[in-house]
Amino acid sequence: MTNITMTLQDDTTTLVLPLPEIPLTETPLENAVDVVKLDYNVSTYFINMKREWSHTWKYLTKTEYDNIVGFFNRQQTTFKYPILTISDGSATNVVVRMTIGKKNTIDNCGGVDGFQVGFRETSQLPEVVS
Amino acid sequence: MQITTTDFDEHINGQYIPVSYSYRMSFDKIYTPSTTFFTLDTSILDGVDVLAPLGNEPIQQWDKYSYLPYTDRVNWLEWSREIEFPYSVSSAMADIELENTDGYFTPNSLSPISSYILPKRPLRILAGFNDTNLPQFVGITEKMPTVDDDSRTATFHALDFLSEMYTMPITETISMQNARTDEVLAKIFTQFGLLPSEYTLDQGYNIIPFVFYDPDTNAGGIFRDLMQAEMGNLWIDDTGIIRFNNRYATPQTAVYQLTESNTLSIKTINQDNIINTVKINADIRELQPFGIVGSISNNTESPIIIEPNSTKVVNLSLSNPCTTITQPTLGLSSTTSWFTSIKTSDSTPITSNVTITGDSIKTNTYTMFFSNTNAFRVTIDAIEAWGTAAKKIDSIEYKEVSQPSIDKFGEKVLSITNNFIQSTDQCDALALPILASYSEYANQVEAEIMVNPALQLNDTISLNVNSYTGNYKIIKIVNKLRSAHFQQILTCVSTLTVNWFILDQSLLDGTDVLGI
Repeated sequence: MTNITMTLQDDTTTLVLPLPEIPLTETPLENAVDVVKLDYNVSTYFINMKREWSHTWKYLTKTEYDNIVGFFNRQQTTFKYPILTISDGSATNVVVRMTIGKKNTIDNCGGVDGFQVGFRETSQLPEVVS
Repeated sequence: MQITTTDFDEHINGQYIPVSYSYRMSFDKIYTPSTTFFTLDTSILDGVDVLAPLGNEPIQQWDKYSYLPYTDRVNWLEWSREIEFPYSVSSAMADIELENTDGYFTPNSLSPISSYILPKRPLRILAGFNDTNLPQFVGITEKMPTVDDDSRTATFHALDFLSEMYTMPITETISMQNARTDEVLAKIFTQFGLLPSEYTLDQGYNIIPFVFYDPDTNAGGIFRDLMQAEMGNLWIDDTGIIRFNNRYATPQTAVYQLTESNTLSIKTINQDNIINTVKINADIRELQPFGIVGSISNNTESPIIIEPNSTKVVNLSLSNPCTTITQPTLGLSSTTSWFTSIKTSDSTPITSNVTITGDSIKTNTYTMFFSNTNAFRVTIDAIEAWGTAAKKIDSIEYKEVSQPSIDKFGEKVLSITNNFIQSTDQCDALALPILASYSEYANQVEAEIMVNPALQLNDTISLNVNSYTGNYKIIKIVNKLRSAHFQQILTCVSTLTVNWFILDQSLLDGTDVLGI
């Protein structure tokens, strides 16, 4: 059995991250609204489905942390979201809005523990001004 | 109601309903006259050709803009259309919020379309189910977008092309006699550059003895008066086609039924909209034989003096609007227009070298352009203009009431002044349906329903929802699409099934309403 890896990619960098810890959580996001009719039955308007992944690394070295956070920071300079691939096939080149949790530095080498990252599936804007 | 497929209809009242929509704009307004309907294996995907609606409709002027898709940037869309009461003209508007994180819609920015972010940009909204989208709105943005830097959004407000026309002035004088409603409409559309193939007009039943409008008159006012007198409908439909239906074309049978299984909420609109008294005033004009329509003589208070080798513009007041005026010539006449002139210094009659080089007729004024090629000043001492004037020969002061409604709610008056209404029969045709639709509480309802993008204004629908029953006409449709929250709110009025008087069938003094 091969280890699951997570690959992040943007205009400048491609980073393959092992996932030494579990869980890697995938949450389905149903873009849908239920309406209740006068006969008290419901119907559902839906447009599409998206997914959201979250993962917490128990410990990252300063270099690993900086590499991951680099993708988050570059969203604000390239105006583009990174692209996520998870090697088990659950995500292949999926554009994701990346969010990060708080940084807990726990040693003099800059190591970080309990670092949480979220990826929300979305689509890249068709034409982006750089 | 727009034409749909069985599959589409099943989604309208389905359980898990796949909403789809499309939003396109033309920022650069590149116009492609060769645009046709999309043809498989010939047209380019996302090219200029437009997807044909399900009906057999012609290509419109606004189809020929080169639209680009911006669906991926839509945060929310709202579009509505409404019949303006009591004019029977329709207007539509749309508001669109787009994602603008990258400043793509920010004017004067690095955006590649920065120089095209201007007012009057054409746009189209389509919506439906399972990627079958029906045209919902075709129009142009009213002004620059509202850019919100906090929410990183850009919001556009748009009007349909007909609403845009309502705000525009006509460019040339309209002077017509015994004209049908559709003929006057066609004349205005021609001024706005539309070809006959770009609108569909029924033959009107209202014959207007005299139509006269000055250039710069607001077209919206003309449309409103015409439609009110005709009791027809003028609208640009969801697919972008300008349509005029005469009063007989109003659909009488229900095209859709509302029940508790496709209605989310329903309520009566408050009684402020009640009308139980209709007053109509109109001037009746008749074209007079060729004769004197205006004159100036012995004008000593403000003499008309023309300098040597000069020109002068002279305005003559008209007591009645005129269809024709013969241009005056120098020298007295007892059968046609004339003017006389004298030498200003010694009052010697002048019989040459004073001419009128041009003229124009407006509602209350006749303008002449005089030229004096003499080497001395001349005074125009008299002018008599001959032509055909439309003189007011009578007036209509009409009143119709619903006494039971007055007894309950007090008098609620609607006053109408419209000179295109020329008979009391026409007043009946206008007033009786208004009283039938607006004199009682619960005659107007507002219902949020399971969205049916095929519904259109003026559709007759039948209600069988709670205590609401009977046929109603849709007078307003509001649609909102925010993420998957798809809403449609209808405003409807109870319809009187008008049986128009038909010769040899209707009873004299019966209940059938005379149409003309």
